[in-house]
Amino acid sequence: MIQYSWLIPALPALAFVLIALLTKRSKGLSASISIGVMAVCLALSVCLFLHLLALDPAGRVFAMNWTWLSVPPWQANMGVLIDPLSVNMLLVVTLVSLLVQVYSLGYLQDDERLSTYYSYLSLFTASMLLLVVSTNFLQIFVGWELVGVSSYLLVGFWYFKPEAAEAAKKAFVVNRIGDVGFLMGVAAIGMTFNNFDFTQVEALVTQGVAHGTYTSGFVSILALLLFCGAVGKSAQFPLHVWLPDAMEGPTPVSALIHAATMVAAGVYMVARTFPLFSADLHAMTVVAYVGGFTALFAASIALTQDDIKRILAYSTLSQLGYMMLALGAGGYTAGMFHLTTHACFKALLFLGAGSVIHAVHSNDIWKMGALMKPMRVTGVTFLIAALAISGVPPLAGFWSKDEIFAAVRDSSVPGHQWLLAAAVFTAFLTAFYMFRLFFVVFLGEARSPQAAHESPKVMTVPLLILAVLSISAGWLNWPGWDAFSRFVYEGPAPHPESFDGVLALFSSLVALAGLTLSGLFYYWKVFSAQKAADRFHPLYLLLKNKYYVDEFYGWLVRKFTWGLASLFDWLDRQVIDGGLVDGLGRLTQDLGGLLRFTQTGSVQNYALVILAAVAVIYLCVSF
Amino acid sequence: MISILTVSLVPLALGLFLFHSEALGPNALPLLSTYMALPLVAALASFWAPARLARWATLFFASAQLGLALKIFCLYQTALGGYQFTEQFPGLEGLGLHYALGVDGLSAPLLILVSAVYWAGVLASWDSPARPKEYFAFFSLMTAGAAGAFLSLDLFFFFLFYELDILPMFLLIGIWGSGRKQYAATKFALYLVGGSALILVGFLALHFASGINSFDIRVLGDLAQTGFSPAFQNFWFPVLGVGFGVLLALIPFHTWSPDAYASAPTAASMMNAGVLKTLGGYGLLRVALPALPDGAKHWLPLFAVLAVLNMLYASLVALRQKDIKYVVAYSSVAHCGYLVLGICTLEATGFSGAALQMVSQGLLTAFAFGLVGLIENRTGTRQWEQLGGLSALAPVLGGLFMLNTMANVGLPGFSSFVAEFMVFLGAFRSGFEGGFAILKILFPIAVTAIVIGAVYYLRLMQNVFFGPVRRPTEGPFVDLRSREILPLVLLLVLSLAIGLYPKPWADMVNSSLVPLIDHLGGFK
Amino acid sequence: MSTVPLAHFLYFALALFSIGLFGVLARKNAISVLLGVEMMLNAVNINYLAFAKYWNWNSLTGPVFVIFIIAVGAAEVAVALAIVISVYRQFKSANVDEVHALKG
Repeated sequence: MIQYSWLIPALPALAFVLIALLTKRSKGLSASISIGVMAVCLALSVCLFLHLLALDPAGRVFAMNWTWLSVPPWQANMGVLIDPLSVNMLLVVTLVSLLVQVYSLGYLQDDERLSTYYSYLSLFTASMLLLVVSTNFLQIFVGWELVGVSSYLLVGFWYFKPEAAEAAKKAFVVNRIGDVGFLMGVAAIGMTFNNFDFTQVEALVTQGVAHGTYTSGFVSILALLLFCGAVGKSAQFPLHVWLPDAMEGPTPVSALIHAATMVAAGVYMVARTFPLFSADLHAMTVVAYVGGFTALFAASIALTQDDIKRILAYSTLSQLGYMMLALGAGGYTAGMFHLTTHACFKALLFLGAGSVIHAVHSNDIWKMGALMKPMRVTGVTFLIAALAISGVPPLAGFWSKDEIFAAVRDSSVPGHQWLLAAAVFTAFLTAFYMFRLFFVVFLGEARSPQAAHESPKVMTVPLLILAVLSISAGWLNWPGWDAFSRFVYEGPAPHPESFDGVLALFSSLVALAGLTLSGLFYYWKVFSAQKAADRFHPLYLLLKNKYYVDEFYGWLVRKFTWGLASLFDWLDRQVIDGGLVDGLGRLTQDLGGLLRFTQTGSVQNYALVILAAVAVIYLCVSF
Repeated sequence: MISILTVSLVPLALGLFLFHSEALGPNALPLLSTYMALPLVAALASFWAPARLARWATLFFASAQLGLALKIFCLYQTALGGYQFTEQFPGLEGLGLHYALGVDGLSAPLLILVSAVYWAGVLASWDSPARPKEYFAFFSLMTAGAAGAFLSLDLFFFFLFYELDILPMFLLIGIWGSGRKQYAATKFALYLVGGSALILVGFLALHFASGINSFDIRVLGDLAQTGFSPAFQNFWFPVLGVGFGVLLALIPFHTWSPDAYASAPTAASMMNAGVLKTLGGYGLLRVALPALPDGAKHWLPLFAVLAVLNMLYASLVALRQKDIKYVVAYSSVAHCGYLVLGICTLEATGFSGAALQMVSQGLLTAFAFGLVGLIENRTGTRQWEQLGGLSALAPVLGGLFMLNTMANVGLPGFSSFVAEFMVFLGAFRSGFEGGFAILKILFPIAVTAIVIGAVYYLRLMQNVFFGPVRRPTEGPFVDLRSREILPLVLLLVLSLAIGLYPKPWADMVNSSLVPLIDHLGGFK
Repeated sequence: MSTVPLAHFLYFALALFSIGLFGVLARKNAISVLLGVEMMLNAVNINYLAFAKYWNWNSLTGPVFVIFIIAVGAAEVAVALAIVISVYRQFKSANVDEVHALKG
């Protein structure tokens, strides 16, 4: 079984080539190839999973490698690494990808570039799977860049919309900024250890630190360089700005790439290279604080947004922050667990939002309302997802979020109690903004100009499947059973997080409080949101404008990059070219002009000069 | 289209299978001389053939040469390394000249580059320009010059062929160019002749200082360790370095290149930016470093600074250009920075990166110029401010330009990723593990080029191909025809071949670069 | 047999050369300039022959050179006269001062 695992990334890649080169004309054929391949990949992943389950926990790691590039003394491989961590990601990616691809059939049925769309989706899935199964730093970087491209292509799928084109570019460039650090980290690791392989590098690091060959400070620099990449890809502060804009892409794409899978790649990468991070507390602290801050920061912005997808995007940022926080706090399984459950309910939220947008043709939540009645399946599944993300027991989000809280509480990161407070407050905000969204869109009075209708089966069935998972995925880590943690955790010691009844009770109360407050504002209308906004007007403006981060970056780019570009352009044109190069030309011409006066044109002058020259030479030679 | 394929594939097969095969016996034509002579034959043929047949004749010989290039590439034995297929003509020994050709792991991939760009260039100029006979003849002469320079094992012939490259380009810009073509042509010629004056003086210095009256690259390289005093090397390395640097458009000797490329006809830009520039890096690796290793160690840190400057400065200047061709031209200047940085690492990984970057930047720059030519051909303008949304009108053109963008941005799958990544690896190793300390500072600065390098190309893509449709002229817009796609596909496929599975290519260049590193003796 | 000493030949040649040189430098008329050139050539010839005679009469190098110079001189005069004629046709003058189209 394991020896066929390379098919998992290879098949979607093949599908991409097939669709791009051969079946572009036939929408149906292209879609069937893509979806069929994804179903096969899902089946393969499930088989792998069952295969691993049947094995002894200690022997669940398989790796295959092919040499891809080598310059002695180092070599870089392409390979397939099958272990519980990657199989977990494989399941998430193939499942969500399959559901999204099926859903897209309904969502984009009228789009004439459907074949292109499916080829891009296949490319994305192939890249993502390549990233997931990678055995080494170079391969993960390759997959990393490729998912970036597919994201660029898919965000800009409706390229004729200027906003989409702009968002695609922004996403790419911002990711690239993170990749600068990542690339430096990969280069540094590869050249320091003459090796790119995860397991070997990790062994070398552990040994090196133990023997004092490498200081833990050095290792934490490596880890933080890698983390730069994760900050970009997982949209953590300060590189979060691309994700909300990326919502210009088709909604199923947002569900797949910008909620469930690609943005989680950063979290996955940190988990994959966890020994590098855990070698030094400094690196862990940075990860935890970036994650914690992003969680709170993004959740507060989500409170005031009006675009349904942007609210969800900020919610994604905030949840990714949770995952980073968990990893930084040392909660390896908590982070991965939240990644898994989050993939289910966030994909569900986006697909539900897509269903709504499909029905009312708008992204503005104030143009929706009372959609529960016409769109019962969408409404109910959306409610389930909202409850799950808010952390209401016994849904999936409750369990994973609780593990994160426990991990932060037990963490050795300095100031972890503040991080815990921030995390809990974020949970409150999450419940508030999710139910603000739910109340405004699905309840209250109808504001949509046209009659909404439920989406076709091809869209609602994926919603139902995801809804079931959003309810039940959390039960994997039922207290005492801890199936997920025991499967994913590889280390020798038992995983540190444990379910804590008091904390769980407290966090569910917080979630319910947020939910209730939201209801008081937006459903029962006891309080007026308008008045609250007026009362705290500066704060409201700050949140509404996303803390002016975009404006600040815009200013920075205009002042700095653009200014530098203008300066260099001027330098090139005026100084180097105009001054030096043309100046040299002019100098030559002017010198020639001076010498011109010796050319009288009169033969006899020349003859005289010749005579004089002969005389001079004669004198020189003879004396 | 079918006739084009026939006229291409038949000689290609001939070149691949028939020429110099065992079937022809021991009297078969010498492989490398034939390879080099084919463009000369093409030049003569297009000069003497009727005007309407000039392009067909050139295409025929270009395809045959491509076949030969593939054959040489396949027959080259990486495991053995060294110069293979060597040929000598002893008649000129009395003059100290040494007509000797040979191919090694460094030049074998470059031959594919030369022939691919030649072939693509012929097809890119298919809609014959005025005076097709002269046009194709000059284009072929340029190719012959490049091919000869890559194959020569003698500095005299290296120089001769290199000069053969410059003159036809001057005429191609001056006669068939556009815009300020006379200015550009003169600037180009003066710059490059100035550079070659330095190269010539450097070669002569090597020749006379060697004391053995030889121009042979191999002999001079072997001499270097004992033959040339450090003071001599320190003096002459910058002379050669700047000479080749002019060719590589090393800042501040780069301003010829944007003007020349912008004015030159498409195929000439492709050949010049793709191949001639590469010759600069090749000269550094082939002549300057082996002959003057101590000088190199003394001066390369300075060149590394210039290289990084190339990468960042040219990318930023590209951001401000309004003419698409200028953007591509500055992008090619920026990509040469990677090449030079790789050489400046004085380290095996960096060298391999530089060698792959030669091929990669050649293929991709040619690809980009080919596309820009087509955009200009369709829209009648090169100002991107006048353009927009072309993807909707021409999906194939849009798709190819997207691939071009991705390739130039250096994404995995394309040769550029492998080459640039290896350059970075080399820079890190050299900087942090006992090489040039200055690379410690330059390495992080250089890596930021992956952002700035992405910005201007993405911006171009967005402005020209995305958003609402905008163009200066009305009327029907024909998407690319298969004849226009064909040459681009060849370049793209080669780039992908390197990018998807770089090991054989890297092994091949390593087979000559590892001995070179040994010869240079590591860092001192 | 009384012999004329070598120095006399050399003085004569010097005189002839100087007169010719003066003619080349000072005369305006192109024909006169040409005459001057011819005189200089012949001065050289006399030198050759004189040296040949006093040095080594068996070596034919000197006389052969003279023959060459006479031949080349004849050819030169032919070409030069042709040029002078075309110049005259062009400029309606054979005055070398007026022919300065090469003036930078």
